[in-house]
Amino acid sequence: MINKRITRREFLKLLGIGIIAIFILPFKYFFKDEDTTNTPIKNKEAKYYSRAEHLAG
Amino acid sequence: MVKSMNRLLQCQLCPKMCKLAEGERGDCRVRINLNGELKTLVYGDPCAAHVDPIEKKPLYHFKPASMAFSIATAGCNLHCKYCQNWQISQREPEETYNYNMPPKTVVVKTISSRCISIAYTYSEPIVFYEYTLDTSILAHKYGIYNVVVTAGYINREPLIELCKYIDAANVDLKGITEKFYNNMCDATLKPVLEGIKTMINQGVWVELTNLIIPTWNDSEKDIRLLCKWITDNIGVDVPLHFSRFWPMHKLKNLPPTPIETLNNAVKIAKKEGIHYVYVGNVPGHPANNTYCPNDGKLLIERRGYAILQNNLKDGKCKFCGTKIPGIW
Repeated sequence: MINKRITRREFLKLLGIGIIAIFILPFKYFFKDEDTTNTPIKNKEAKYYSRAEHLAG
Repeated sequence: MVKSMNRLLQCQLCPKMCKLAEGERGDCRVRINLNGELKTLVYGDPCAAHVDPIEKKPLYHFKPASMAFSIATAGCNLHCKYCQNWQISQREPEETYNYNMPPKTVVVKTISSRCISIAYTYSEPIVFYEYTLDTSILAHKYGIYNVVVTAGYINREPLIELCKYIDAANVDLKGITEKFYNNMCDATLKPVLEGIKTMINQGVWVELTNLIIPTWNDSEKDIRLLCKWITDNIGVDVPLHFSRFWPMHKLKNLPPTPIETLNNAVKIAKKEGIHYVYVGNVPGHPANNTYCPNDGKLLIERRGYAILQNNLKDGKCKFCGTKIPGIW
């Protein structure tokens, strides 16, 4: 029969890995990136243009 | 209708001179008439930011083996059928994934990436003019070079203002006929030729790229005319890069440029007297290298974007002492 008992050290190692995985995995796989494609467009005044009321069209 | 006509304005940045009613965007997709004022929609919002070797621009006579922090926003004022970067150039900024990167952040990232220059590239820096200009001014204050990779389709006044802060430019001289520019790029040739001359007169280091497209601009006559324009107007020391076309965007029906066509173009250019002629998009081609125009010795050997050997000393051929033009 296989001895399934582990040492205290091995248990603490596994526990540590599990705790780290619980905190890190969600950031990697579950949270989506901030969506910037529909953020308000920033409108800075452009250079080199003129009012053109006299122009048609 | 009357209200929108009262707020009609005309963009004067590029030769298209778009007339815009209230709420209307220019042909470039990134400049808009909002409440009677022209606004840029892409200031500080690049959709591409990457560290590239300077040779990728391509710039072969400017700080070889250095790295450039390269940025671009959405949009372009040309609509070339073969555009390699059409996924960002032929898009509105709402359609691209954009980073929040004001000029100061660009400069900080350039320094932290150990780049010595900022390249305004990929799409068309003319359409994100204000962002290019402000970032260039700040970059110079920190000793960072500015390079633009552009189609050169810009009016004279804004170009002269920009040239004060630009150190080097690769300009696409896409063809040598108005017909080519009209049919292939939805633009005109003359402003590009004038722009190239203006940049050189303003002290910008300029290198030219001509993408050779089978059946469109690959005839010997066209290539000879292009080379003749260069030698007659800007001189034999302006490097000319002939680039190989690959099927792309709206020209997927054409084959890649045959190597023989590129070799022939190099021969024509050298026969016309141009000193520095290169072939791009063909790794391992002998014309990837720089040779001394005086004694023919190999000066800079390149493999892809890597420099394998550099035989320049203080900007001169180390074998015969001939000064090689460029910013070394």
